Amino acid sequence: MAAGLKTIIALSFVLAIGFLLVILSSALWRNYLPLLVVATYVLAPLPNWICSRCSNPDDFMESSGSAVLDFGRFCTGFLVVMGIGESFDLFFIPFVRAPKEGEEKEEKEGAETG
Amino acid sequence: MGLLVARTADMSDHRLFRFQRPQWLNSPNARTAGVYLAGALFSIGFFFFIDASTYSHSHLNAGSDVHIKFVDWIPGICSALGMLVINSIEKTRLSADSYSYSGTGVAWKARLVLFLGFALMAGGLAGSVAVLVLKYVVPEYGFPALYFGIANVVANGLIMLSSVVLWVSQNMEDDYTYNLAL
Repeated sequence: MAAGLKTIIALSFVLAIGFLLVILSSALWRNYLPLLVVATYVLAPLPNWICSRCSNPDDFMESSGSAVLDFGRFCTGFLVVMGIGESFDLFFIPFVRAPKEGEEKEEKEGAETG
Repeated sequence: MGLLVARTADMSDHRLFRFQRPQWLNSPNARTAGVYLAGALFSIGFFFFIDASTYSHSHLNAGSDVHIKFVDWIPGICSALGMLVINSIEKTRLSADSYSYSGTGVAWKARLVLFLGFALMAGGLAGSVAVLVLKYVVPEYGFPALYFGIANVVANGLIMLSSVVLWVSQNMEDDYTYNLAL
């Protein structure tokens, strides 16, 4: 897929902003749980990559290779939406007891990689 | 189920239904989009339940005595197992008859396993509704506690929807698509 240069620049800019927001939100309130969201997004392309390596690349009409590819895509979709769900959870449910009553940890969502 | 079987046997002259499948549905990208959508739906359903579960164990719920126990996990486990069983079946075995290449005994076994998978999944959904009614509605709990039961039902419903989307997208005819690996 030939992504243009502008696309690459815009995507890396969004990624950098996302990392900045996650690191800020972890460091300002000393709660390092938002890094779990970043870890989930880093892990997200892995099932796709592993299953595309495992499936047989030579015969492309093979149906059993397609099942492994489908499973990899299913797991990748699961992990990508799990990142969004995790940041949603962290926003509404305080995992660490706040020093002040009623103060909630604000978590910013990390940008999607690729 | 009849609609799905008719789709796999869908040659141009032997159509069962009046309406033709829309043309955009035959593109090779529709299949991969369906698989990703199924993963996304499964994740959303799982996260409704995880959200309710973490709320019940957080300190926001410290005063009440309504918590999510192992009983609440059982319908979700049933649904997920049912989904695994349903989507692991080789679909061409279902419509095999005794004169085809796959032998005499395979079709009824495949249909039996499919029936067990559907029974597990429907049992999971019905179990979650039962848990909602018996554990949360009958004692007439107010809103934060009632949300646990509702989240469980929504999660099981979304898992069932994800299984349907995955089944339909895997059943699409891919005679004209080539899966060239990266």
